[in-house]
Amino acid sequence: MSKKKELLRRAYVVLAMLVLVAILLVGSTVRISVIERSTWTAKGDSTKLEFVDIEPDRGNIYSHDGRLLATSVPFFDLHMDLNSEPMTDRIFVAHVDSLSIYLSQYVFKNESAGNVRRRLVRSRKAGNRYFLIKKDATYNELTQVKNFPLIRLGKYKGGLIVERKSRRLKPFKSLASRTIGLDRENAQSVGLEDTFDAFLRGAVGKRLMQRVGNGVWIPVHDLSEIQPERGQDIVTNLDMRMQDICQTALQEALIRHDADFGLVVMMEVETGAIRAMVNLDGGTSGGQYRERYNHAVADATEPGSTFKLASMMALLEDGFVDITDSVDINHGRAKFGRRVMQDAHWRKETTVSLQRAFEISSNVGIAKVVDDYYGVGDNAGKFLKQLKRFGLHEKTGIEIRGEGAPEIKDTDHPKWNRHMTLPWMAHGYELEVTPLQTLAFYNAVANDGKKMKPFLVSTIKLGTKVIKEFNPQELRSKIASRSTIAKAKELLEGVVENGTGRNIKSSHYTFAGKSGTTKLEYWVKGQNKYQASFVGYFPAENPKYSCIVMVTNPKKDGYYGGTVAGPVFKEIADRCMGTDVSLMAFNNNPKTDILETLPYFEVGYAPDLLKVLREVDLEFVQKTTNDWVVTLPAEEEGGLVVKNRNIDPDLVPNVVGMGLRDAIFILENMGLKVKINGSGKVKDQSLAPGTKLKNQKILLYLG
Amino acid sequence: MALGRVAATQKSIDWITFSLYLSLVFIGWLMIFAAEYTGEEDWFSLSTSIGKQTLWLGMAFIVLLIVLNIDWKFWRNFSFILYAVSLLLLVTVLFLGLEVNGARSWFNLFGFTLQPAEIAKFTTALAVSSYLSGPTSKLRNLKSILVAIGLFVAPMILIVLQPDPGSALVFLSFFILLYREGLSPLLYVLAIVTMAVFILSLSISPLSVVVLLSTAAILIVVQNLNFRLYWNLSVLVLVIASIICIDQGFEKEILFVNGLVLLFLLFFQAMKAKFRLVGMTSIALLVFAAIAYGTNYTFINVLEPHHQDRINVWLHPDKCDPHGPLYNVLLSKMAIGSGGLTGKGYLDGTLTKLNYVPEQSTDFIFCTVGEEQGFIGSIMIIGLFVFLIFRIVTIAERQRLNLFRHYAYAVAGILFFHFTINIGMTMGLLPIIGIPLPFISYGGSALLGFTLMIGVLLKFDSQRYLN
Repeated sequence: MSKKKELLRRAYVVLAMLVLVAILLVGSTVRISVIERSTWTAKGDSTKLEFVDIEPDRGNIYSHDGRLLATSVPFFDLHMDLNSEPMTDRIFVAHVDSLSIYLSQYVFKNESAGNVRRRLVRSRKAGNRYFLIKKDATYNELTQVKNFPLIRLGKYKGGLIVERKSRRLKPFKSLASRTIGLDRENAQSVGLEDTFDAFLRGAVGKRLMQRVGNGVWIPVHDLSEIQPERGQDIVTNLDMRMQDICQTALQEALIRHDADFGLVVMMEVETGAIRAMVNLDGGTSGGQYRERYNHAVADATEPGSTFKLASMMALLEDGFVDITDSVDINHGRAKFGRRVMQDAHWRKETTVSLQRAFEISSNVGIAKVVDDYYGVGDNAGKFLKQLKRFGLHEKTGIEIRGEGAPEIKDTDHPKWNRHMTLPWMAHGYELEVTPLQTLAFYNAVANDGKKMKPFLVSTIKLGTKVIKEFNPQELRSKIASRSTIAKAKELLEGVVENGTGRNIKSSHYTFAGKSGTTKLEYWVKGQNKYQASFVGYFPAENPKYSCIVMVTNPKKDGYYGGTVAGPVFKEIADRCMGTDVSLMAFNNNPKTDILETLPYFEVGYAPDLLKVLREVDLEFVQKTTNDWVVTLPAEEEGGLVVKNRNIDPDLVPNVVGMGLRDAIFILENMGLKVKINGSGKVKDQSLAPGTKLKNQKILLYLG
Repeated sequence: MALGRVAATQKSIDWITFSLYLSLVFIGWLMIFAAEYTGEEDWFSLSTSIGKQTLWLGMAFIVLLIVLNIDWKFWRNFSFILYAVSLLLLVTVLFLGLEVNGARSWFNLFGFTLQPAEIAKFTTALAVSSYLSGPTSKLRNLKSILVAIGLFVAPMILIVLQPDPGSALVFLSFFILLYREGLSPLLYVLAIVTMAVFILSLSISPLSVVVLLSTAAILIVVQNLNFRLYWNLSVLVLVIASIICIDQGFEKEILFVNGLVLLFLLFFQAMKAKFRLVGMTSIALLVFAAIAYGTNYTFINVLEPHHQDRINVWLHPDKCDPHGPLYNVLLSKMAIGSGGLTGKGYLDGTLTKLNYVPEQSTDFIFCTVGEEQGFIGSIMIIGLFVFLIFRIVTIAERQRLNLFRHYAYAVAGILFFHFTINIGMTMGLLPIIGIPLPFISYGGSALLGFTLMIGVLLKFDSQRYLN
């Protein structure tokens, strides 16, 4: 019976626990929804609550040489919640005097401490939760304010409300500014800021904000949900030193020739990395040239004579001509169909070599040859096929929105004229390419036929962590045969040596290029608008950079490519050659093999010697596993075999060809006394190999 | 149709429990809709949570009908087979389960997810009660106790492996059944004291806990003296002094005083040859002091960081980063508090609707009630649960068959645990342990599991006049 009672008691204990929990939960509900109700209601009144985006820091843009091209500078709006819950009267009264003094000293400089104090007290009484301290404060000012009395008690007690904003800054101002681009909210973004926006942008955070007054929102301090994620940085290929050189040179020329606008693009031959991209527009502000539009990327125009290189290469590639062949240029005048074609000058020559025609940029010369060979039958298609092999019909794919599309007519194009289109195309009319596309083509020639994709961004980083790397990309691995490329280079060097670029020849180094003078709007009678261009690469023998310069509508001091754009090119090349260490002569000798012949008759300890041979990547045939070996020429030409060097423990060994250390090691281990003469490897030894060992002395001659 | 048999059972099922169950399920259905509501839900579309829940609800009712119609002996005879199957499911889910938030707790069946842990609660209840009512087991016998404990620890371990420690903790509720069936209360006292020492060490400091333990030891020792009342009054003074000293930061000083008193008393008792008392008290004091000082080590080295966070949020909300782990609790309290006395009205809970509270329709469903139905709604839910559990205990006590009583206690324990932890955590009284509020939270497996529990209970109860 008592056991049953005991068990029943336990049932009551269980029920008592239930009751206890019930009381606890009900009590807690009462506390939250009745006693603390006003607090929670105020916090939870969602008509006054809203999630607001917190903008993340936009990533930075860096130049190739590590300089900051675009960055976001944070600034802050500082307010104080004078009625924050933990800021009790006791705390407020204790600190308001000193806070007023600090505020009047550092922030409200025209206001007396007493006045500031009155305002603080009055605002607190009035229930102000958003007392303005400073708008647009810098980070330094923020840290200063954070240390003020009362405020330094912390986020809750101190009541400081910090709202962060940011401003985009370009430390180099106008330099490459169009390429770097703009991130705009109300208009299309441009440049790299646009293309790489997804990386730069970061992720927006969210924060719960509470409305405290008309249109005034303060963060609900204790409830911020998602922290924003910082944007990633991008590292461009732009080199600020070169950008500066290019911009200065171009600007001087634009002013001197009073041109409408101009551009320079500079590319690293081997990789296609864009090292400088300048676009300067004159526009309305009179004399002030600014980056306003990316002409280099966007403008597809008739290239003029710079296109002659493509024509010549097509002819060479199809095997129709050689550069030594001659052509009748008829004093620089010829008629194709119903139209007359003229060279820039009257020429006294009639028959010149093709190379000469190219050097003096004879329109008639090039057009005639092209017409002669491609104008017959269906050959026009062959010409177009070559241009396509050069990749001139396609965009380069540079990472900037709005690249102009090249236009090269097909033979079935409605405007294709059987008599006229081909000769005019031959010297760069009736087709359109952008300056960047022309440059990429010349760059391919400089790069021995390998056409690289021009690219602006090399790396995307977050802090020091590399997120993504962009490697150089080949657009076409070989645009033409080796001999064609070699002849093309010869032609371009000839232009500077003897032709339209003669005026800019340099005695210190060589460069190669082609001038171009395009008549703009030639269909307008009586108008003389030109576009002067020069495109080439330097140094000629081992090209490092390619570069295009284009000046549109020069109105003073000439208009020819050779005289307007050429000097800009030279100026840029000169200064690059003068300042770029990698271009200095001692660094720029053509690479030669250090070993002229294979290392024959090297004698040494097998593991060491084999290691060295493998390290320098020499192919050899190993014919022994002995410790001591010698390298010998193989039977077939150019081969190398490793054979045994016999070391008999009882006889004097042959140590000729060994290094001194190996020789001493072997000889002294055999009990010989070694004496040395000279330095280097063992050239001769006083005891003949094969002599019986008797603890003799041995003299080694080194050399 | 087997209408006749339905009618026969219906006569004797416990209508009170049944109506409580129905009301809770129905309220749950409305609340889930409110929590998921954005203005354009279709109550029956299967692509939304509410649509799925509606389907689960239908299935639950079908299951209930089946349970009420099959012979109760099925559950007795098949209890261990069902238990084994659920253990097998718990093992399989570790390998084939769907990974959600780093835990493999769910099977994915044609877009529906099944959580074996929820079903395992029911089958374990059956198995444990069935075992305890078997002819060989007696709770005075250590082996039986260990087997009974083993029966619910096995699924616990499998669930911890998922890992879903919240659901695993639920199985501790079987200790309520064991208590009722006669397991020594000393075990519970020790467990409670250990827990208290653990929590107090974390929330105040180990040294303060030792001070409190020393007063407790003194209290125990003086019970053996003459003039007990006076001694007890003096000890009360000492306790108050200790608490004041802890509050003012004089722990070392008061510990010194307490220590002297205790040493004196122990010495006095030893003189009177009460070695057992002296020995036990000293050992207990030393062991608990060791636990107090070992707490921090355990906390940092045994618990995972996100579990540490939850305990920190619970014990030191003022020191926690409100953007982090404290966030749920703050928003949940905010939702409940902003409901006020009568709430904002059904579907007008703005915080609820805007999805401010994470896990709104599952673990934190109670704050939807709090916000929309206010204080009155919350009290009603608490009342319904208390009444239900009370009712189940009453049912348990009126059973003649041990199996029935055990089972009823197991169910009462599970519901009690869920209810306490869930509502407690929603209001910040307890650490956040992610378990649902029975019948109300969103989730088909839980609804199915609890329905099975209640259904079998009703069936058992209807057979209580059996011989």
